[in-house]
Amino acid sequence: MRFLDSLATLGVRRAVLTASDGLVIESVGSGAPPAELLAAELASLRRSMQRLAEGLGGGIRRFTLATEECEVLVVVVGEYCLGAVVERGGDRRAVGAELSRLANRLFEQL
Amino acid sequence: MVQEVLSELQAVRGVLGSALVAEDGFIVESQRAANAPDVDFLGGAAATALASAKALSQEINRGEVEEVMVEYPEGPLLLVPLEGGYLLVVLLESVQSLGRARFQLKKSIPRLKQALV
Repeated sequence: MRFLDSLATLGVRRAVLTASDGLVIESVGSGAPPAELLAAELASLRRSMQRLAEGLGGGIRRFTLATEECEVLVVVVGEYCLGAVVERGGDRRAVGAELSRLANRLFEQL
Repeated sequence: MVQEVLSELQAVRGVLGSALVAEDGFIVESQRAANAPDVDFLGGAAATALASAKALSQEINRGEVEEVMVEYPEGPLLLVPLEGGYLLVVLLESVQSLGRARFQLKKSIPRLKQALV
């Protein structure tokens, strides 16, 4: 079983694991957005968030982006980002909990 | 009007500070609790972060950004886009305060948008 497979069963549209270079390490889901695009954008967003974090004297744990149609949930583990796109009305709580569980697993492996 | 809305937001338990930031990162108005980090120097970084979030939203073609939440060890930070490129930055004590803050924001944001037209 692959690392992100558990997210697919929760109705996630697309999920990716990426590092600070924005390249896809692993992905699940189909259709738009392509995993490569999501990974690159998440890495870019994370860099912007990091600058904001430095202003507050700390690092980022996670961030979410809510749009009119979906929510993007991202957990940060070291230099890695674990992100999932959830449609509005999806079970974002369950997806958030699963992302946190996967982040803990990733942290242990690192 | 803007100061009044920020004061109401500041009165919510768990809100440490808030600021109305222009698109270029300059602070228009801000308020913070005595023990809170200074939000005034966050303007530029907050505007850049929101611009990146908008770029992501456009790239994935899923509508306009409504809110960005960033969680730091010090607590969560909310970024809310407003009219004319302005944004509202709200610094909270902990994630437990998110519900209360969002409840107040539902009332505050329409008033801020009205003030900025």
